[in-house]
Amino acid sequence: MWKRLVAAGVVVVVAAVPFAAATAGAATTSTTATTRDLTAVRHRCESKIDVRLVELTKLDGRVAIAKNLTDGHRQAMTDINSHARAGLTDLRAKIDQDDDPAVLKQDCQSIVVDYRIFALRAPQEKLVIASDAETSAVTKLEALEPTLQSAIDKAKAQGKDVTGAQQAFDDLKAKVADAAQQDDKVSDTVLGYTPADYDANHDVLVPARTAVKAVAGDLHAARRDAKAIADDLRDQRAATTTTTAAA
Amino acid sequence: MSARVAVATAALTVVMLAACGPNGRPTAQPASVVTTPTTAVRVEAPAPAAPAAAAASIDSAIGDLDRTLADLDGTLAEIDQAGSDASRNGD
Repeated sequence: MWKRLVAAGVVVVVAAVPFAAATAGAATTSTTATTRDLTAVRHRCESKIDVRLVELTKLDGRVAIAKNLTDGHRQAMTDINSHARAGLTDLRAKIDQDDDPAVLKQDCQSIVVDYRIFALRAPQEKLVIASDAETSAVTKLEALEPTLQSAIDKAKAQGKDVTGAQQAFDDLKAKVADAAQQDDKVSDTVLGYTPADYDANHDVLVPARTAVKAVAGDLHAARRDAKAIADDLRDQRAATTTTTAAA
Repeated sequence: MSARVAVATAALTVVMLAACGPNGRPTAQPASVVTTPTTAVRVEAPAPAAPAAAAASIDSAIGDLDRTLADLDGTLAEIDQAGSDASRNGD
């Protein structure tokens, strides 16, 4: 009986040794795999940060050369970019030290949702640049309106047919007024949006984008009207000369 | 005074007297002055300057406006591009 029990025990022990060894090996393999995964994830996250830092540098350059930005808007965007750059740089250093997969995952998500460089900041700043350019164009057209009306009035006083020029001028005034109304406060509204606003509503920039494009359409139409008026006045002059020469 | 000199002096006097009017001043033009023919030439009435000047002024303002609109169009193209940039970068 004893002999049988001892033999059985030996069999169990002998059978258990390889199993235990295998289990220990699996744990080592798993740890190695986790370390390798963390490193790979960390590199992917750092790469995401790097492309965003490059984009911020591009945005800074774009803001710097934009000709029609107000000083206030230029400063606001420079501050936004500077703040984002500092935050992403700190996050990169933190991610470099992240050993906990859950923390690393959270930090990597933060790169996107807490900064929204491509989804919000880039289009936001370009919308402000566009809107300020439109404000400048509206101002130029409004300043041109008295000159246009005066030229039309003088031509009319000289007996010229100004029907076409007057129609073009009336259209120009309507387009400029509509542009001014749609462009009003677009820049300030857009600049107020944060990544949290974008996360709550991915279409947050759609109204501004629609307005900016509509204003651009108005401005191009008004420009065509101004050109038509100038051409019409020149044609009147040519007709006058031809008539005088033929008399 | 010789006879020749007397003749020449008399001829010159005649010429000078012929060139003078009743008040004694010369009426004939010097030979070197060319008189413009008095043929009738119709001069065209100058075209009104105001509309032409206004057109030039408007053209100048349009040129300035065009530069702003060119900047605007470039920025609008960048805004259109921003959507695909966001998708490509996982935003």
